[in-house]
Amino acid sequence: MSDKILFNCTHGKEDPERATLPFVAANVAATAGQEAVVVCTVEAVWLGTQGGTEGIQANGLPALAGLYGELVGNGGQVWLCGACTKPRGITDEHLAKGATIVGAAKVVEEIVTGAKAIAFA
Amino acid sequence: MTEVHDFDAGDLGCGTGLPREFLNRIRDIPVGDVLRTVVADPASREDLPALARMLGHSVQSVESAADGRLVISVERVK
Repeated sequence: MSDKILFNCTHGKEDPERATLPFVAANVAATAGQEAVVVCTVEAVWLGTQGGTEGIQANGLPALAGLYGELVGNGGQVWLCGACTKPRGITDEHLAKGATIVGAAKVVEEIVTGAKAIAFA
Repeated sequence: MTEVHDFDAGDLGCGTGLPREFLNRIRDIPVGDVLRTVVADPASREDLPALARMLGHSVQSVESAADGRLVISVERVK
Protein backbone atom coordinates (compact mmCIF):
# COMPACT_ATOMS: atom_id res chain seq x y z
CA MET A 1 0.00 0.00 0.00
CA SER A 2 1.61 3.27 -1.09
CA ASP A 3 1.06 6.40 1.00
CA LYS A 4 3.21 8.53 -1.24
CA ILE A 5 2.21 11.91 -2.61
CA LEU A 6 3.68 12.46 -6.07
CA PHE A 7 4.29 16.05 -7.19
CA ASN A 8 4.97 16.35 -10.90
CA CYS A 9 7.52 18.81 -12.19
CA THR A 10 8.04 19.43 -15.89
CA HIS A 11 10.21 22.55 -16.11
CA GLY A 12 13.79 23.45 -15.33
CA LYS A 13 15.69 26.71 -15.31
CA GLU A 14 13.78 27.98 -18.36
CA ASP A 15 10.76 28.52 -16.08
CA PRO A 16 11.90 29.03 -12.47
CA GLU A 17 8.38 29.32 -11.11
CA ARG A 18 7.20 26.03 -12.61
CA ALA A 19 10.45 24.39 -11.59
CA THR A 20 10.17 25.55 -7.97
CA LEU A 21 6.49 25.26 -7.03
CA PRO A 22 6.39 21.44 -6.95
CA PHE A 23 9.35 21.47 -4.57
CA VAL A 24 7.63 24.05 -2.33
CA ALA A 25 4.57 21.81 -2.07
CA ALA A 26 6.55 18.59 -1.68
CA ASN A 27 8.51 20.17 1.14
CA VAL A 28 5.29 21.09 2.93
CA ALA A 29 4.19 17.47 2.62
CA ALA A 30 7.51 16.11 3.86
CA THR A 31 7.54 18.54 6.79
CA ALA A 32 4.05 17.30 7.66
CA GLY A 33 5.37 13.75 7.87
CA GLN A 34 4.07 12.61 4.48
CA GLU A 35 6.07 10.54 1.98
CA ALA A 36 6.74 13.10 -0.72
CA VAL A 37 8.22 12.48 -4.15
CA VAL A 38 8.85 15.05 -6.88
CA VAL A 39 8.51 13.27 -10.24
CA CYS A 40 10.55 15.16 -12.82
CA THR A 41 9.91 14.86 -16.52
CA VAL A 42 11.10 16.78 -19.60
CA GLU A 43 13.42 19.66 -18.64
CA ALA A 44 12.85 19.14 -14.92
CA VAL A 45 15.13 16.08 -15.00
CA TRP A 46 18.09 18.48 -14.93
CA LEU A 47 17.03 19.50 -11.41
CA GLY A 48 18.00 16.06 -10.13
CA THR A 49 21.56 16.37 -11.38
CA GLN A 50 24.54 17.68 -9.40
CA GLY A 51 24.40 21.47 -9.52
CA GLY A 52 21.12 21.32 -11.44
CA THR A 53 19.19 23.58 -9.08
CA GLU A 54 21.87 26.22 -8.69
CA GLY A 55 20.83 29.77 -9.49
CA ILE A 56 17.14 28.96 -9.96
CA GLN A 57 15.00 31.41 -8.07
CA ALA A 58 11.53 32.61 -8.98
CA ASN A 59 10.08 35.90 -7.82
CA GLY A 60 8.43 35.38 -4.45
CA LEU A 61 9.71 31.84 -3.92
CA PRO A 62 12.74 30.48 -2.05
CA ALA A 63 15.84 29.47 -3.98
CA LEU A 64 15.31 26.03 -5.47
CA ALA A 65 18.67 24.65 -4.36
CA GLY A 66 17.75 25.21 -0.72
CA LEU A 67 14.30 23.69 -1.16
CA TYR A 68 15.77 20.63 -2.87
CA GLY A 69 18.19 20.09 0.02
CA GLU A 70 15.44 20.56 2.57
CA LEU A 71 13.15 18.08 0.81
CA VAL A 72 15.78 15.37 0.71
CA GLY A 73 16.78 16.14 4.30
CA ASN A 74 13.12 15.68 5.32
CA GLY A 75 13.02 12.22 3.74
CA GLY A 76 11.60 13.29 0.39
CA GLN A 77 12.68 11.78 -2.92
CA VAL A 78 13.21 13.05 -6.45
CA TRP A 79 12.47 10.69 -9.33
CA LEU A 80 13.70 11.45 -12.84
CA CYS A 81 11.89 10.08 -15.87
CA GLY A 82 14.21 7.62 -17.64
CA ALA A 83 12.78 8.39 -21.08
CA CYS A 84 13.69 12.04 -20.46
CA THR A 85 17.14 11.54 -18.92
CA LYS A 86 18.34 9.23 -21.69
CA PRO A 87 18.15 11.68 -24.65
CA ARG A 88 19.72 14.34 -22.40
CA GLY A 89 22.69 12.10 -21.64
CA ILE A 90 21.94 11.99 -17.92
CA THR A 91 23.04 8.77 -16.18
CA ASP A 92 23.39 7.57 -12.58
CA GLU A 93 26.80 9.22 -12.21
CA HIS A 94 25.31 12.71 -12.75
CA LEU A 95 22.65 12.46 -10.07
CA ALA A 96 22.32 14.75 -7.07
CA LYS A 97 21.69 13.25 -3.64
CA GLY A 98 18.12 12.01 -3.29
CA ALA A 99 17.51 11.57 -7.02
CA THR A 100 16.80 8.27 -8.80
CA ILE A 101 16.17 7.52 -12.46
CA VAL A 102 12.91 5.60 -12.82
CA GLY A 103 10.61 4.59 -15.62
CA ALA A 104 6.86 4.85 -16.01
CA ALA A 105 6.20 1.41 -14.51
CA LYS A 106 7.63 2.52 -11.19
CA VAL A 107 5.35 5.58 -11.06
CA VAL A 108 2.33 3.58 -12.25
CA GLU A 109 2.94 0.94 -9.59
CA GLU A 110 2.86 3.60 -6.88
CA ILE A 111 -0.44 4.94 -8.19
CA VAL A 112 -1.93 1.45 -8.51
CA THR A 113 -0.99 0.73 -4.90
CA GLY A 114 -2.58 3.91 -3.57
CA ALA A 115 -0.25 6.87 -4.10
CA LYS A 116 -1.83 10.23 -4.88
CA ALA A 117 -0.58 12.68 -7.45
CA ILE A 118 -1.00 16.43 -7.77
CA ALA A 119 0.22 19.01 -10.23
CA PHE A 120 1.03 22.38 -8.69
CA ALA A 121 2.56 23.75 -11.87
CA MET B 1 13.95 -28.10 -12.63
CA THR B 2 13.76 -24.32 -13.01
CA GLU B 3 15.19 -23.08 -16.26
CA VAL B 4 16.70 -19.64 -16.76
CA HIS B 5 15.96 -17.88 -20.03
CA ASP B 6 18.27 -15.05 -21.07
CA PHE B 7 17.03 -11.81 -22.63
CA ASP B 8 19.57 -9.20 -23.71
CA ALA B 9 17.53 -6.01 -23.89
CA GLY B 10 20.37 -4.00 -25.42
CA ASP B 11 19.49 -0.31 -25.37
CA LEU B 12 15.76 -0.75 -24.84
CA GLY B 13 14.31 1.39 -22.07
CA CYS B 14 11.04 2.67 -20.67
CA GLY B 15 10.34 5.00 -23.59
CA THR B 16 11.76 2.71 -26.27
CA GLY B 17 9.77 -0.51 -26.00
CA LEU B 18 11.23 -2.42 -23.04
CA PRO B 19 7.94 -2.91 -21.13
CA ARG B 20 6.19 -4.48 -24.13
CA GLU B 21 9.21 -6.64 -24.97
CA PHE B 22 9.55 -7.81 -21.37
CA LEU B 23 5.85 -8.70 -21.31
CA ASN B 24 6.18 -10.76 -24.50
CA ARG B 25 9.30 -12.55 -23.29
CA ILE B 26 7.94 -13.51 -19.88
CA ARG B 27 4.76 -14.80 -21.47
CA ASP B 28 6.92 -17.03 -23.70
CA ILE B 29 8.56 -18.97 -20.86
CA PRO B 30 6.91 -21.70 -18.77
CA VAL B 31 5.40 -20.78 -15.41
CA GLY B 32 8.03 -21.36 -12.74
CA ASP B 33 10.97 -20.56 -15.00
CA VAL B 34 13.09 -17.43 -14.70
CA LEU B 35 13.60 -14.66 -17.25
CA ARG B 36 17.03 -13.12 -16.80
CA THR B 37 17.12 -9.69 -18.45
CA VAL B 38 20.32 -7.74 -19.10
CA VAL B 39 19.68 -4.06 -19.64
CA ALA B 40 21.73 -0.88 -20.00
CA ASP B 41 18.95 1.60 -19.15
CA PRO B 42 19.48 2.84 -15.55
CA ALA B 43 15.74 3.47 -15.07
CA SER B 44 15.20 -0.28 -15.32
CA ARG B 45 16.66 -0.84 -11.86
CA GLU B 46 13.38 0.42 -10.41
CA ASP B 47 11.18 0.02 -13.46
CA LEU B 48 11.47 -3.63 -14.49
CA PRO B 49 10.83 -4.90 -10.95
CA ALA B 50 7.79 -2.60 -10.70
CA LEU B 51 6.46 -3.91 -14.01
CA ALA B 52 7.10 -7.51 -12.97
CA ARG B 53 5.25 -7.01 -9.67
CA MET B 54 2.27 -5.40 -11.37
CA LEU B 55 2.12 -8.40 -13.72
CA GLY B 56 2.10 -10.72 -10.71
CA HIS B 57 5.61 -12.15 -11.07
CA SER B 58 8.36 -12.54 -8.52
CA VAL B 59 11.57 -10.52 -8.69
CA GLN B 60 14.46 -12.81 -7.72
CA SER B 61 17.38 -10.41 -7.96
CA VAL B 62 18.68 -7.12 -9.33
CA GLU B 63 22.44 -7.08 -9.81
CA SER B 64 25.08 -4.98 -11.49
CA ALA B 65 27.12 -6.70 -14.17
CA ALA B 66 30.84 -6.09 -14.61
CA ASP B 67 30.18 -3.95 -17.68
CA GLY B 68 27.86 -1.64 -15.72
CA ARG B 69 24.62 -3.07 -17.08
CA LEU B 70 21.89 -4.47 -14.86
CA VAL B 71 20.89 -8.13 -14.59
CA ILE B 72 17.31 -8.53 -13.40
CA SER B 73 15.93 -12.01 -12.77
CA VAL B 74 12.18 -12.55 -12.59
CA GLU B 75 10.31 -15.79 -11.99
CA ARG B 76 7.15 -16.22 -14.02
CA VAL B 77 4.44 -16.87 -11.41
CA LYS B 78 1.32 -16.99 -13.56
